[in-house]
Amino acid sequence: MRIILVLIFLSLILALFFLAAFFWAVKNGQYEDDHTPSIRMLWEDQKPKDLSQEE
Amino acid sequence: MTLYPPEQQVISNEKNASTIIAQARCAHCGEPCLPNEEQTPAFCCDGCQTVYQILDENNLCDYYSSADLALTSLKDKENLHFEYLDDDDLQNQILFFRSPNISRVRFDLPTIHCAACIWLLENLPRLHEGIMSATVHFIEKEIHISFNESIISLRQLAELLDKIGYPPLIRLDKAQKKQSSSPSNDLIYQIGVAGFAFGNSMLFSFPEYLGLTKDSDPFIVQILGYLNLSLGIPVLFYSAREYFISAWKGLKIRDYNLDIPIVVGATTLFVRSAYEIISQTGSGYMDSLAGFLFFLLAGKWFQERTYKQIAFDRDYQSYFPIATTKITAEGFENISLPKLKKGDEILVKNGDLIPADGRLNCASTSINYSFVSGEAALIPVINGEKVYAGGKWHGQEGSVLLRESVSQSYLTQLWNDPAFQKEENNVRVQLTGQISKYFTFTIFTIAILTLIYWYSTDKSIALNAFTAVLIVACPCAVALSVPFTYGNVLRILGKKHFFIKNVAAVEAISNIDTFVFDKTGTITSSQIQQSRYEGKPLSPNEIDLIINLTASSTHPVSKTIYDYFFKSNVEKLQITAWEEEIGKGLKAVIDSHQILIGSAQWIHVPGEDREKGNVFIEIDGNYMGYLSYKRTWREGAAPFMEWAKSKGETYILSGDNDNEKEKLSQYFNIPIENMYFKQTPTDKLAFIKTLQLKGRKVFMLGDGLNDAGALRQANFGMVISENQNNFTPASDAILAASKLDKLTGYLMYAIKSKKLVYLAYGFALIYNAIGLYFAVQGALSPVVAAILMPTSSITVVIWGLSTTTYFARKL
Repeated sequence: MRIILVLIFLSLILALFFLAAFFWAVKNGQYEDDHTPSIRMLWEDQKPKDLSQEE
Repeated sequence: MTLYPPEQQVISNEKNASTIIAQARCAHCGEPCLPNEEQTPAFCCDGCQTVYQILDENNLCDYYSSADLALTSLKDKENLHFEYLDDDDLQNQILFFRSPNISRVRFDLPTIHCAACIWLLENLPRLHEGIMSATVHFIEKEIHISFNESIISLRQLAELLDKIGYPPLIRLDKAQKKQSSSPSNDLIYQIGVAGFAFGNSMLFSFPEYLGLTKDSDPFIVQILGYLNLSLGIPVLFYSAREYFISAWKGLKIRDYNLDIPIVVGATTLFVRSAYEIISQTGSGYMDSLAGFLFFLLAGKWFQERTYKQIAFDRDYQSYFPIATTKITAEGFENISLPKLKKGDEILVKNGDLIPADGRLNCASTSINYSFVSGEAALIPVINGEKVYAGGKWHGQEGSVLLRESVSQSYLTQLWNDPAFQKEENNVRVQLTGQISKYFTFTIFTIAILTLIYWYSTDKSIALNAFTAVLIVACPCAVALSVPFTYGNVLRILGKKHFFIKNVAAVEAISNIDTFVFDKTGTITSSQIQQSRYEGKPLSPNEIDLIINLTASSTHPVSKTIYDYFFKSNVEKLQITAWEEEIGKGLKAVIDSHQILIGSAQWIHVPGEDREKGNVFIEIDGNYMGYLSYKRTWREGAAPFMEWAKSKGETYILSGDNDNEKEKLSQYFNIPIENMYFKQTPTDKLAFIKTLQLKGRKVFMLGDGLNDAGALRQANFGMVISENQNNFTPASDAILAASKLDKLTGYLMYAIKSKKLVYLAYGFALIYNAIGLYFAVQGALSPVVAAILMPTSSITVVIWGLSTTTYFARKL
């Protein structure tokens, strides 16, 4: 039955890892703007045609 | 989030050039415009054309291929001046990072409104080699730019943004505020910690709930206990920190707020659990502790999430520029507004706002006081005449000799009134305040009575029962009902373009019993409507003349005439002697016709028409006819007024003269003695104060800077805004003008939500009573606490969210 302690510690470590990931994400500003990235991803990268014109 | 849905239709790129000519719409903004044969595509104004050319040169015309965009017309664009950005001190305040090779700045760009804006702005590095990167935050309408100051100066950067149609709004106070780290992140961390502890300690407590006692395996039970204890420590000392601070502050000023029982409950939970775990007499209530703090913090977060892009705290400083040009003996000097003194002479250019009261020190100009009075009319001023702060300069550049400093000017003095010194961060909801007072005392009385009772009968249970009462009576559910109910109301109304400042303002609505309305711009529309032409019939050629003449003037009346006569196939004609005379009208020779549009003192008008018309037209010396127009009542104003009258007394305050008195009284069915005219901003403020002294709870509906004092003093001050880019004075709520007809429903909804909060309190108290029933008997087991506390919280949260959503469906 004591083997459950190993599982508990493993789960705790995993949860701590998630907590750290959450802190990192907040600090990194990922929750500050939840709208613009959803629009930004819809833009094409610079079109080849434009590149050739520039060169 | 955009305040206003895109309505304009937009024409896409050059491929459609032929259709553009046929429809004569501007290629940049889609507004109707004069077709142009020399160039394709056509433009409505130079501003739009400049933007188009810049984009075209840099292969950024993809901008126009995004469908469904409402672009901003640059026709009415004012020329902004950014000379002051050359000042080194100012640069240091505005830039939040500065080094020789890279500097970072954050600008507010209120004109950001669509996906194409993001695309264009994030492609700024392609427009100028000095710009390294640009990142847009759409919701907050701001941009972060990294640039090299040795290639492009801050001023040039601002001018570039202005040129492509995104004039940056520079506010010193806001720039400084941004530098300090945002406090809301702390709350998110606290929620994270509490949530983490909640989930894990529930897991660690499970074995016990399932019947694992220390007889079966004392080692496991002990380890789980200590794990729970170590999870409880950060919850109490980190997540609950703000509650301790607030409770302590409350105690010091004898304000028995709801945070006191919360803190007592949390501390008791922690101490008793720690004692049970260490003494191995029980497993403690750590999961309940973490759980209820998690819910409390989540509620706080829910109610604090407001509209970041909408400012409710603006004062005159946001309307005024940051700096101005002072004329000194040596030449010109950029000077920030607070440093301006009486007697200084300043340079004012077309479109500038006059920062302080003074006298005109040049020949003549005209000034638009629409910021102050709401009336969009140009007032001619000659040398030596008084000019007032807040007026917008129209005409050639000139100078003003200041007679007052900025803060002592007629308009700005309003902000010295005590109404503006009101403590702002006090968002306490009255209802909770009243309840918490009784709640705190009741709980402590019950706890002490329990202690006394058990101490005299069974000492072994006394402490157990006493702590149990404090734990179970913790007003978690009571504290959650306001944030979730009012918070959801705030959010739902926000989606419907009615933005309320905070939850305390939602509550204030339900106490209103007196309504005060501003007239100009609030219940009357600020745009001139219902224009009508009377006179000799005009030939198409004559209409062309009128359109060509008025197209090049920015005067509001010219705009009205232009809009009235506008048709799709206008011929662009050769204009030779174009002249605008202030207070008189427009005069020009177009296509060898002499045409005059203006007032009766300029044009010979037969007697009758003099009275009826507002503006008169003369072509080649022949009087043609007149155009009459009037301001119209805003749609929805009258029904709202009806509703207001059923709720309480109604008053109208106006800065104008009283010549519309009868009409107003008739239309809105309000007695003439309830209408006050020629009210200065200070008068309006004083009027609200008088009503409040009589015990009235006042609702104020206004629109401009002239209502600022009254809006601030009122119990609920609301602003009507026609355009999201317009400034609105400090207030409790902002409503999009197009939604005025819905306002009655919105307010009734907000009032109804108070009853929902009461019902939520009822649920919370029932749960508390059940808990107390167990607690006073000393029979509160950790399982009962672990079930009861989250259930009561969740019930209140679900109740608040679901009922407010249900009642909102008809809005």
